[in-house]
Amino acid sequence: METTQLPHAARAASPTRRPGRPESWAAWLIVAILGVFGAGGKAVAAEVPDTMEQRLMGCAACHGVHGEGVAYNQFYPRLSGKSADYLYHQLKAFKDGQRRYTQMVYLVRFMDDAYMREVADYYARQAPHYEPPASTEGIAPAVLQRGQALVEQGDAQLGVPACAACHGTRLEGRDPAIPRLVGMSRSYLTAQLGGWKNGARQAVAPDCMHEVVDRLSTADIEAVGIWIASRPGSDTLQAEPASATQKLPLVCGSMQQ
Amino acid sequence: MSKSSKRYWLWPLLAIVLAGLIVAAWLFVRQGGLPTLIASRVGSGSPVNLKDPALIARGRYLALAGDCVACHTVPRGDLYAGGLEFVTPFGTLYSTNITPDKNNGIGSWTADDFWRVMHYGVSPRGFLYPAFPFTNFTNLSREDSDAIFAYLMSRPASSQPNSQNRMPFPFNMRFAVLGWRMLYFRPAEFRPDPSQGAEWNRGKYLVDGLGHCNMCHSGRGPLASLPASRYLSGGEVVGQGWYGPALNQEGLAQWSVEDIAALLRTGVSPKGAAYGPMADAVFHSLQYLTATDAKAIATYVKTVPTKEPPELVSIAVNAAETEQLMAEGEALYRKECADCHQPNGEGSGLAYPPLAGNGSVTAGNSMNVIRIIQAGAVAPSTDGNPRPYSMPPFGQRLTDREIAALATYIRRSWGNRASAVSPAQVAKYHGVPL
Repeated sequence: METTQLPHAARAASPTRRPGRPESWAAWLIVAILGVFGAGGKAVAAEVPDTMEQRLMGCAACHGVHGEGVAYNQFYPRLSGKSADYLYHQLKAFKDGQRRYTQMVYLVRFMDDAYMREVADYYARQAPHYEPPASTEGIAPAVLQRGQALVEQGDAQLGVPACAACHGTRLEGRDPAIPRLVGMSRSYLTAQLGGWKNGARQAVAPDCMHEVVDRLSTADIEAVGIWIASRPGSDTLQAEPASATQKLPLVCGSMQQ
Repeated sequence: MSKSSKRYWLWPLLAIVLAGLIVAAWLFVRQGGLPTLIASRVGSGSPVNLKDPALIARGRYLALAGDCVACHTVPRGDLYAGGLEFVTPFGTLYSTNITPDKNNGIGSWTADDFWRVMHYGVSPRGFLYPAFPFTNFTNLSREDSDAIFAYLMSRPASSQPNSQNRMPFPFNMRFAVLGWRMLYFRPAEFRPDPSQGAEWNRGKYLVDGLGHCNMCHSGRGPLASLPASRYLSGGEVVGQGWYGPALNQEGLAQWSVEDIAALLRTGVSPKGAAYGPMADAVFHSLQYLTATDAKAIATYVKTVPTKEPPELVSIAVNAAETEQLMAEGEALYRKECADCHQPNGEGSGLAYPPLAGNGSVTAGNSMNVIRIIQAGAVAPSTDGNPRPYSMPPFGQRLTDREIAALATYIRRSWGNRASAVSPAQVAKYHGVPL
């Protein structure tokens, strides 16, 4: 436990920046008197908990304390319960410039590997939280069918495997490095797919997500985002284990790190 | 008009031209003289064995202290292979490959060539732009220059090609740099001040030389020069949207030598934490300083006389508006900030720095306060503080007015007496790269 004694009296007695000003003398005199009384009464101790929750308050502003997301903006991805390796690879990608979201790059730029691992493990340990399934009201049936087909079967003609082939039959992710898709917002999903397509988001070569998304039209990307966002999550849904015997359709660099 | 009266008018003209030439020649000599044009006029140092492991080890430490890596390496790029982009008011520059590659690096250089770069700011390719801190590195001893060269030459070579600078006329002419040099550069040799102790002198040598602290912590003059009158008096970091607070007697009055040394080596201290470009400096360079060198730097900067403060860049806020912002700011502070920074602005130990009496908060220029409320912060991971605490960004959730109110409250409470911050000032930092 890290405990910090706040030195009220000591600070009050320290020199002011401009001791010549009468009003500053008066102000410091009052502070000094208060400080002496404060110290005479009870020492004030501010305890900062030595927990990852506390250390990662900076992340909580957008991702929630446990990676559950925030109500005021659905764009920020939910991190809770995602595969640890996946989360670690993302932190590293922000740090190394493969992912370019300015705010994230700024915050992780001077973290070392060990700390990024610890941060990733923290969110991976948390129980998954899901965005409630998005309504498909008003979406053309053809769009929904196309989305469902791409997610569940892929498109052999385009050479696109099903999302579910790697991300799990219920899109729950696959340990240790394939992220969960169910429970993510449509805006986040389509933004990421667009990023894979135009190169704004990249992964370690062979960059299989780029290969796949490059073959999709923007209409296809929309359809996939709509379909995935409409899928319900559940508290019992766990990422598929790494030992799953099913062979993956593509070789991805981030699976081999 | 007769011939003789024509000649009569010619003489003063000739005299003016002659005087101009004499002044130019004098300035040319002052900026380094012939060695800056002719490589062979640079004196040879005593011969050194570049393969000497002890020399290489010393060079590695000095290269870390000089933070070569921060500018000469891009993320995922080869170490010291250059390519980092610098957007300056004069154009866009790229750092160069300083690995021992013969074609794209410095593999064909001699120790004398390297000394010419460090001491005179002239490479075999010509005059260097002062974005490369040769105005600081000129203070280095020949021995230290040789050690750094030995270390760089011991590194693996990278064939990564250099990127072309994108400088508009007239800054694209390397010779234009000569004009700048004649006005603002004098090669120097560090001379210890006999009236000060060894520790103080070591600190000054590191601060003025390898540390190149004044690149961020001094006010700038015309053409991005660094006038002595603004030495370490605080200044805007060129092209980065951050402010380097004053490193002098006044700015560091409340910091002990131990506080400063702790910030340099761990990124946190009881008086403030490193963020923005300083987090970069700590992460890549300062955390590797020996305890002795960190203490020497701290000892020196605490004695730097306070020079003229840099001119204020503020948008005036009238008294009534200030009062209103203070009231809004106080309510927001209690809700958003007080848990960590405490209701009285004292902070919480090393986890959350104090805001009361914090020079970065109260600097004449309010950009750091605005930016850090907008973007949050994480102190760098260091050996002394491997798992830093963090501050959330607020820019995605609070309005410009709310951020202005918070900044105003923080700058004017608990004995802080800095200027108020207007919403228009906050708006200026939307989209400024972090």
